[in-house]
Amino acid sequence: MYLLTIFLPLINFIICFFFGRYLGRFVTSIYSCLLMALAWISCLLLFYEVIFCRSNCLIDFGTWLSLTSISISWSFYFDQLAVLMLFTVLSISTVVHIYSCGYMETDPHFIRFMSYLSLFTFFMNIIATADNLFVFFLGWEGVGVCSYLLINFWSSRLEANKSALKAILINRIGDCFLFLGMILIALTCYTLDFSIFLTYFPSFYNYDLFLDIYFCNILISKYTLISLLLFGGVMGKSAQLGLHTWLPDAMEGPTPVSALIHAATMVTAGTFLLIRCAPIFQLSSLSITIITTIGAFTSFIGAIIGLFQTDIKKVIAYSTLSQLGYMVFACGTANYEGAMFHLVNHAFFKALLFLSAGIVIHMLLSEQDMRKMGGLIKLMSLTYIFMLIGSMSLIGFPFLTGFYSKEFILEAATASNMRIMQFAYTLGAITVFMTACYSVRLLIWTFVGLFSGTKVVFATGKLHEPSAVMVYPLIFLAIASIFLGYVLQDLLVGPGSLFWQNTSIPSIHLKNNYFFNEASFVDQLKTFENRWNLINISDFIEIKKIEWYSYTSQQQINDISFMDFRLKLLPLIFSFIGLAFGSLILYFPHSKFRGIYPRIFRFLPKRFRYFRPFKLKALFAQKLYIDQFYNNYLVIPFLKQSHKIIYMLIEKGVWEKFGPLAIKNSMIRLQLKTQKFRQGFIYLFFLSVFLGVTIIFLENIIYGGIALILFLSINMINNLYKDNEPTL
Amino acid sequence: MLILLNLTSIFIILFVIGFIIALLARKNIIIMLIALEIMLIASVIIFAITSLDFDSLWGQVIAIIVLTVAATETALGLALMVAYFKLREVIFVDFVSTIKG
Repeated sequence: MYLLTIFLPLINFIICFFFGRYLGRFVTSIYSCLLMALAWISCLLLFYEVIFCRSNCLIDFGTWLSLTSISISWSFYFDQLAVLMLFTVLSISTVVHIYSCGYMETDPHFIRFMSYLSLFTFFMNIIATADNLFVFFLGWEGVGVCSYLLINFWSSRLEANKSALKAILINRIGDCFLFLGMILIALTCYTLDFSIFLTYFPSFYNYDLFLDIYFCNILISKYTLISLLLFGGVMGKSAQLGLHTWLPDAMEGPTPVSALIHAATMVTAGTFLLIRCAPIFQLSSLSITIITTIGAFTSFIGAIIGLFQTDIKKVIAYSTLSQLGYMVFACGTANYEGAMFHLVNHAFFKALLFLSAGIVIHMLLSEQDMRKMGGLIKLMSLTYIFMLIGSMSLIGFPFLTGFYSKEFILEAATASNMRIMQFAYTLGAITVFMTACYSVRLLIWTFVGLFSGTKVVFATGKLHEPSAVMVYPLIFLAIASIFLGYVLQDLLVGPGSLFWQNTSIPSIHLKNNYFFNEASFVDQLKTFENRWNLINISDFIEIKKIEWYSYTSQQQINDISFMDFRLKLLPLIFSFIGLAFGSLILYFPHSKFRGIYPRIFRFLPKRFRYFRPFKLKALFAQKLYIDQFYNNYLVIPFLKQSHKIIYMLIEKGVWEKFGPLAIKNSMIRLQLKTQKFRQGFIYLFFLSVFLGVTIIFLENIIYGGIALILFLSINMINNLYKDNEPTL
Repeated sequence: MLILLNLTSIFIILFVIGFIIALLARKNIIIMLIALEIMLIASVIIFAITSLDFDSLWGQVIAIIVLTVAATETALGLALMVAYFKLREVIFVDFVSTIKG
């Protein structure tokens, strides 16, 4: 059962990819949906066994690599975290498999599409259950490849090609960082097993054995370096600010792919790594600060760009970016439970949003521009309901799924005393406001008012509810978007919950309030000791250390639970203000009071009347010009330099003149010259053999000859003087 | 030791004779085969003598093996010669490379 959960998608991939053409389209769709459902059911059994019955399980297939100092095994570890991730992945994946049967039914490569989806799910399962970082990295790269294949699924489109290349190349940057981090961990701990190195680092925190190393000529703490390198990988995969540009462009792929990969599962793999490797991140205050800052800025900037996008999928993509920022800064505030909780919830409601947007796009004949929609509420009211549930859950409407996790994240940021966490809280609260605005904008532009698309779409489009195979799976997601947060709340972040007990998280919680630079702390203690000569400094550090570690997730949860109620209510108020604001501004043109609109402006002074912040709007509609900046100042100069140096100088220059190609050419020339000596006479062959042997043993022959001559001459001299003696 | 040295000179003389014959007798394949035989015999002699000197039988064993190989090789060469003679009705091997395949 444990292995079925992981390997059923792989079996499905093999069957679909290699034998799908013999089975046919209908059989393949039935087959793959059934297999995925089977995997999901076995995952539910796992959920019962591992989470409720608390029986963690390690499955070891044996050694993969065995080097001198490091041994890597094929092993899968099923703890609570892994099973929760498996549950999320397989739920969304099953739904998307069923949905794709409807969405891609007219596509000629439907079978290949299904096989790629299954392969992706398999690699995601490996990520969730990997026991060591190397197997984790296998899954990490595998989902990258599957993401490339699926974005580029409609490969005849140039935009799809460009987006897929962009996605995989930017992900490679992150993967380089992750791989460097892996190497450093292996060099430090001589292992890559999560269970070993995650306990290794906190245990040796007070030892100066390998505290500081030089990296790029900078003296840096090893904890900081490893955590920052791992976070580089997280930035690539989870699309944090700086390496986020691939995620909105990845929306060129089919919509089920966007729902499965670029909203629900693959982009959260980075956050999953943060949660898995929590002990390392918790040991360095610098990296915590960086993670929190980047996460907060990602959530803020994602939301603000999402406000100005017109492509329906890009709005949701930027919303995903924003929510990923939430997860990452929750990890920065040591609120790993909240991050995981938000991960699960976000997967469900964001998949719902994407899939219902997919219905709209499918029915409007691949029209993605929100300005050419409108009025669809009367034609597809069920889709509207799904979209509404998803949006409300995203906003954090009370008692829907998103409410519980988002509020929890923001509360944890408030509960902390670190200034950076307060800053992150401020950005997060503003983001809540903007989230409400763009969700309402999406709903109103798509579903309210009059249809403003082209006549062709209206005449030939299928402006009605889609087939049952696309609607029924969404009902499951809608129910999950309403109830899942309430159901999981007590389990994941409830006071007294034992959920995180066997995972790596509770053992490492450092209280943010007391988090400080240890070196300066020791210096202070030393001055204290010199002044009073009373306390033994090392004992004091030990006591202090115990105090740090004893601040568990439970205490954090308690702190959050008994926070000031008014403070807890603040994000909710923000979201309601955003909801009201967005509705007022955007619904106004469609309401019966729309005649007031020009009259308001009549009372304004003239310069405000015609105030149109076009440049500001262009700035956000063009995604802050980050793509253009990367292109003009990083990619193109780099390309030119590498063409000049690597291609012209090294490849065409050095390697062709002195490299393997030069050897090959010179051998050909030499052979042409030696050909003339071959006359075809046997005695010449004979001579050449003899000459060759002579040349090879030339040294031996010379010395042997000299020795022989010496021996013979001595013998002759002896014979001269000993005539009487017989020679034989 | 003296025996060894003297017979070594015999070996060298025999070997050089064989080599020169093989080099110069470029026309007659029978003479070439005989020259090869002479060279092999020269090496056999040195094996046999060293086995005497080192009190070991291995040199003589190898000598017998080499003789066998030489006989085989000569038989092969003669067979080739017969085949070549059937083709061209001569045994001069100057232009043996023209048969090619």
